[in-house]
Amino acid sequence: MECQRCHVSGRKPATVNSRKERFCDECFINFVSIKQRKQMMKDEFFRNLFKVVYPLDQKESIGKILLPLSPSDSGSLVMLDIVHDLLLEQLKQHNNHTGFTVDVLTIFTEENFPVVRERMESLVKEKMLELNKTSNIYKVHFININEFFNSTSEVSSLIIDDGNFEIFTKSRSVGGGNRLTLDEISGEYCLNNSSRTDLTSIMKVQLIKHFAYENGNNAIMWGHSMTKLSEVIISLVVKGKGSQIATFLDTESFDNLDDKPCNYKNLYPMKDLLSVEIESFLQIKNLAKYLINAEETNSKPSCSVTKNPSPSLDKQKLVKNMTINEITNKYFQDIQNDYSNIISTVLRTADKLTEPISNMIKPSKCQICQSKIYSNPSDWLDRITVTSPYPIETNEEEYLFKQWQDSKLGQSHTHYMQLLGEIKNDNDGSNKDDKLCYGCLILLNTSIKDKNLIWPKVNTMNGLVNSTNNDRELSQILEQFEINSDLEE
Amino acid sequence: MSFTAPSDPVNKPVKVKVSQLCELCHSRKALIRRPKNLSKLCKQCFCSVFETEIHNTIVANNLFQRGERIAVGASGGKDSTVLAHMLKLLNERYDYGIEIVLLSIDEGIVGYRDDSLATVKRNQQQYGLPLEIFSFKDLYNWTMDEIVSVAGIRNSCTYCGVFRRQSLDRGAAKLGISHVVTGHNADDMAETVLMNILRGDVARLEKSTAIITQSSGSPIKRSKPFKYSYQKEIVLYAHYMKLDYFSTECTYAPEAFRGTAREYMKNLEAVRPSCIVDIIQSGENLALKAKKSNAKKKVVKFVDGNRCSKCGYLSSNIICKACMLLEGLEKSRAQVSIENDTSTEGAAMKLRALEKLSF
Repeated sequence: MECQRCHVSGRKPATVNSRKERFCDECFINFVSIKQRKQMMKDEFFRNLFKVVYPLDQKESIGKILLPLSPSDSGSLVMLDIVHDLLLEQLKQHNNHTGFTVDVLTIFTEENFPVVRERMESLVKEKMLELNKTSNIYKVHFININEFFNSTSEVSSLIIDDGNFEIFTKSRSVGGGNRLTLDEISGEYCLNNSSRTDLTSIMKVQLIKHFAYENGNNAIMWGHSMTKLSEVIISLVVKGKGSQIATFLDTESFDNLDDKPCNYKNLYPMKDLLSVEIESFLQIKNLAKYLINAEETNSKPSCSVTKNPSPSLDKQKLVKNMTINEITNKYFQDIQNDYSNIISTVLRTADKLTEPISNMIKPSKCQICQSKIYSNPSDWLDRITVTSPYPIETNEEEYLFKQWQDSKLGQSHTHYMQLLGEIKNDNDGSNKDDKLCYGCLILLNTSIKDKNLIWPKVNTMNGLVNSTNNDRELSQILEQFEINSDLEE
Repeated sequence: MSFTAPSDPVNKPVKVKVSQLCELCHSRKALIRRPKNLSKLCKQCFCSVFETEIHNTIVANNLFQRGERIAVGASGGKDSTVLAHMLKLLNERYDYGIEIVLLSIDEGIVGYRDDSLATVKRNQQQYGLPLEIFSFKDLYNWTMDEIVSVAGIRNSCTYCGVFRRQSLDRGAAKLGISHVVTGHNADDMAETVLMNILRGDVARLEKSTAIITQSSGSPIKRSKPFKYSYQKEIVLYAHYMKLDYFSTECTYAPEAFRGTAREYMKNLEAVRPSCIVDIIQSGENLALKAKKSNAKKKVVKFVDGNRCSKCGYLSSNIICKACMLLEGLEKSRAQVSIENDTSTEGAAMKLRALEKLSF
């Protein structure tokens, strides 16, 4: 079978089958690149950000892009590859000048750092060598996820009153070795896999956004494919966070961190591409070697005509052990054959949404995920859920109640009530209705041990740029690059 | 030797462990895990909580007015049976001052609706409520069995949904009632929110979680007091209150795409039992961007309260959906038929019987 995009005179054999069309490798790379570049040039702000602006000595005109790169996210790898090709073109066409520089940021955990560093360094090194220029077009940053706790000076103890779902907080300063870690949060607080993943994801996003703010970036390029975006949208709906969809997809407004206006906008350059297309691109460009869990990725379905697609999600995994996002991903995979346009429909529908009208007295943000709160979730939940018991009627019931009070369970409940009472007394006096969004309230109420979570006050986050593990890595990379550069000369 | 009486194995008191106690009252043995939040509850607490939550929904949304006549859409199934029971109970307990009438629609599905209508008739006796039955045959001159024989089984839900909705309104209007209450539950609501997003049905997106729906030109309003009640809890309540309901699912196949959404929700519930109300909460907060005005494009604007030029029923188009479907059906109706032909009757029942056959 031949490629349907090549010039008729020299048609190459097709290797990829996508959207009912056959492509050769070259045409497919072109197809994916164009889709991404179209998003990068979607409005004036981004056009000015990426293009080379003359006169060249105007430093302000150099766009500063933050590209969160993860070795477990194929989208970010493909995005970097296409951005890199654009940089190469600009260098060639504009006499060794580019319109923007790229800060590559990787968030790592203690245990995966050596592998992550090795993979990401070798990828960026390869890219730098191709650029054939010793300028700082790329800057590489590594941030330990525990910086989420280390870079904040205050934490809040959040507790939910299981009688009326009101949230109470108690703030305190932290310092020295008194810091929380991701392992503690995952192991001691989270009761299931889904809450663990949700909190980790919130931490990563907050770190990336605060880094962009501190580093003065103009845009964050997220590597979400159309499939991934649809998965996130439906997952937000399922988690009771439907009101956040419009803000999540907003690429027109500047972001707003802790009510501090930011200089950056969010961009989803891969939003026109399906995940299967990204997997195919990875295989063609031989980028899969940089992925962690590459063997899994190799078995991910792609639209390659030469390979038999196989389902990516582990079929052995029990539904109970899956996260909401994984179940949604599985749902999309299951219905993709019969209802192929579902993924694009979800995204198109979500793009038509806007923020709901807020009925809060004063604008407030969720203390966990930092999203806007539009209505009081405690009141809503209290209106639809009754928590008062049917009265005790007989002596036997009275006897059993006393037994319960004296038991460990009763004592644990007394302990919870004492803790609640303490925090209620020390409540920091802020409005009762501005603590958590609905989704995080449910998370705290159902998936966190003792309905009590200690969480950093993100508005006290500071010094993130200085805490990056970049200096040593970057100097090593530059050192290697310069040697090669000299050799070439 | 003295005689020792054996212990009485029947009347021996059962010792309840503390860990087995209800998580609300801590004084009775828990019998169920509440589907909404998996808390362990005793029968008394569960029923009390379930009834109070529905009462709270009714009061918070100001669903009923004193002196109002209410038609309960009664199919004989679990939702409508519990609804009829619940409204009668709460009306007496909290003195809403409403008059309740059971309103049933006979779609003409032999082997399914005739059996469920028998349940509704028993409910009428049990609750002492008046009952009115309207049939598709009388209103449209078609039964669902006849429609399926002409239009096929795949589209059965489309026809049934459109005609039943209109029949309830027509039936209520004939009885001089302006408020129809239906047994749509939280699962139905959440499913609709998801389906509207997955299908991109923007027109219905914002209104998909409304507890009261009414078009400006219509005298009939509809409400859903079970908006926040889980289907499983309705079934459990019916079980504990020993309510008489018809539990067989409609014999015609459910829509395939809806089936996938149901399966998806079932998986979600295994991980996050609260997901059903969470989806409703999301649905209540979905707002659409204002449409960009396009001067060049001539748009026929939808006016709430438009009437069908054929039957006079509310419609956003020149003719209503029911008349449009009927027109199509009439074209496909056989010109010649056998007198007293009953071959189309109970097609669904036969299909079910065939499915059960094994070799």
